[in-house]
Amino acid sequence: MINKNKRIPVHILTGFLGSGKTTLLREYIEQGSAHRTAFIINEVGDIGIDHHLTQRLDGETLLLESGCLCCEVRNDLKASLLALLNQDTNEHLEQIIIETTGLANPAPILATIFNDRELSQAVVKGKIVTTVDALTAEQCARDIPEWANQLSSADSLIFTKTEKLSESDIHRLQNLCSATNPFASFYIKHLNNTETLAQAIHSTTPPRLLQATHEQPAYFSIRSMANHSAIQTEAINVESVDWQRFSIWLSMILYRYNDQILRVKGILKDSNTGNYVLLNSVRKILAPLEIIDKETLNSPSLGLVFITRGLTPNDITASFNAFDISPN
Amino acid sequence: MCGLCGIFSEPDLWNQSPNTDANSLRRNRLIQINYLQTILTHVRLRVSDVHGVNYLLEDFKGNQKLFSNLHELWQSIEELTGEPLDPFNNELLQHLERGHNND
Repeated sequence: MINKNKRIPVHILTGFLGSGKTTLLREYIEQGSAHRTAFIINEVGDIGIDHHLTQRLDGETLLLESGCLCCEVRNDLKASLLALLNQDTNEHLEQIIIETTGLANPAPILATIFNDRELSQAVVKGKIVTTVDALTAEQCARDIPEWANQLSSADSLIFTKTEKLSESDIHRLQNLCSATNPFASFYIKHLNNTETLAQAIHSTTPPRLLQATHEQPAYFSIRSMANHSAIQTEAINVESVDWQRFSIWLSMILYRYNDQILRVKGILKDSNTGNYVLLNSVRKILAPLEIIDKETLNSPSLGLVFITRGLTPNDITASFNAFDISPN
Repeated sequence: MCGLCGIFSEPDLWNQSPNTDANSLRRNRLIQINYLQTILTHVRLRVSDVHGVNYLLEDFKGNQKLFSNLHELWQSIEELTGEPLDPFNNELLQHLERGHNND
């Protein structure tokens, strides 16, 4: 029986195949940040490779060899997490890091954490860190839907393989990624910096709010016109909402357009209680709501941002208005 | 179970106003049904409370579905009408705007 005094953060390290996840993890371990950390490594294929690269962890590394985590709520992941927690009888464990396969969508991992009653009492979502191979990012953005899933889910993005890029290339890369995920913090992995993952996991920036606007970087605007399945963001600037109406509206959208809503994030004021509420969903998996102190916000504007694929962004705002959700 | 399940029956989940006290749950439930009915009139469906525990969805042919959370509601609508309710549908939006103007 798990009886923890505190819930343990579960961080998720994701990123497309070959984008440097295992390298980052090895450096994280070697430079000493992995103290009191357990790892779960998910691999595709019959023979697990990556866990051999991190085998110094001995008994604290669990390997899920049954393949990609992206399909559904995972009982093997649940069992692995509970096994780790049950082994931790002295409560030394301070965090868990899950390294996903290069093909995984983080949403089912979140579903496992949020929806299982036993787990949701014992663990809490930590950071979702996504590695981005700077050399192949533009090609991935065009060709690979899973790439956008991983990018849009992230709290932090780490750009890897940036050595051959100029400042303007990196700026262009940031614009590309901002268009897909306006919420994420950026980190650049330099060859001699072995602390990048630690910085991405342990940074304590306050909720970053709604930098997204209707202005899109040029790269994505052009793509959006040419390709209906392009990633687009839609920001709704609204302060207070009737929470019941808002819940019904959002749940209807997530049900109907599940495959096309990659991420919803926002800070809204509940008109009934006056509370400021942080809302965060990856696909249709909604994190537990957090009531936040308005003083900690780094931006005065409130509202919602949707990251969508293949939707007409204005439809979201038109629908929001017609459902009469804001009492303002 | 997905993240949308259980949201009518469990007050700590996201369909209730954050920090809703227990005494106002029943009132919220009736307000919620009223608002849902405004939406569902567009697809000729009726929704009602069943003993403060479940909800009943009916069409005008007498078909009925019990549901207990929003996810089941959207599924039930799809089963009764043959298609999912589309929150971007222009006719639905016009219906809602007319309804709000008549409030």
